[in-house]
Amino acid sequence: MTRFILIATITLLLGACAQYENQRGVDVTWDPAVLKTMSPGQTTREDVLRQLGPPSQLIALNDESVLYYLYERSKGNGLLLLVYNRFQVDTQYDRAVFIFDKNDRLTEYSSKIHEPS
Amino acid sequence: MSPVKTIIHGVCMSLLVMVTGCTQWQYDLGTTLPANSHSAMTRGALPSDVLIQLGPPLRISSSELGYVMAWEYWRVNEDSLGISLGVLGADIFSVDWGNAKVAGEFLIVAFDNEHRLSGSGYAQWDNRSGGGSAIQPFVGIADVVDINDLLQQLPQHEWGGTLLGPLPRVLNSPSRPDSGSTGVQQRGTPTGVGQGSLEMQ
Repeated sequence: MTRFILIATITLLLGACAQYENQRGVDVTWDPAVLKTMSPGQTTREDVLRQLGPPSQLIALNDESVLYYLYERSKGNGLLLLVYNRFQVDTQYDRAVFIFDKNDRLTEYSSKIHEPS
Repeated sequence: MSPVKTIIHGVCMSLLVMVTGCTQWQYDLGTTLPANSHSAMTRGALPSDVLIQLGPPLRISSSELGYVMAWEYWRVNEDSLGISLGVLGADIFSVDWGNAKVAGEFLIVAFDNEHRLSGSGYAQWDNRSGGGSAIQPFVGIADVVDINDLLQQLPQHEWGGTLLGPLPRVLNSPSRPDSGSTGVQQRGTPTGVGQGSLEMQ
């Protein structure tokens, strides 16, 4: 009985849990209300930059260009029981991509905002 | 059992518990692709059709005949079991075993200069990606599992820092596959090959 209490006490005292979050990238400014104002053929690159700010990456696609906005969020949690430890990290990518023709007019766009489960 | 023996047994068991450990890591990177998305990629489709179905690509780059987009999902599991005296303050003697598994999927879609889908490729995998064991009596310096290259951030975050890296990488920046102008590259691609061969890693 004493041994059991001793082991239980040690396990209880030395056990731990952890939770953390890591965020990288630009602020998520591409909510649906903002994107509703954009229409291919009319919206210009200047319009997008003015509304969403500087992108994570500007990519040259031959005579076209892409504004890529990315917000990366990692959520982790861990259980530390000394003998057995378990960590789980879930990384999600909120992103928006806008493709412009050589006249800086929007041709395609798409966005995704991860809904927390 | 005498109280002294009980204490000795307790201390021994505590030490055993403290020097032995099993650790599991699980990393989920992104979300799985919609079911059967790869089979719906029909030649001649417009980018908007693909973007509606899959959302924004995680990787994008120009190519000689147009541009390519890629979507991916990764699940990386790392299991390790070890005995180490590190918890007692002694950086000597460790016995380790580790194993890593990788599951995921990758879809790449190419568009021509007329904005029409010209080809696509899809792969799905669930593999053991490495592992090892070690007995290190004096100094513990070797990791038995290395998955760091699979957990790197997307290249979009490096925008602006391309020319601040080590010299071989900077000199190779016009050819780097993560610059968005010379193709895309999957996670875990061995370094020092193809467009990265000049980086001498």
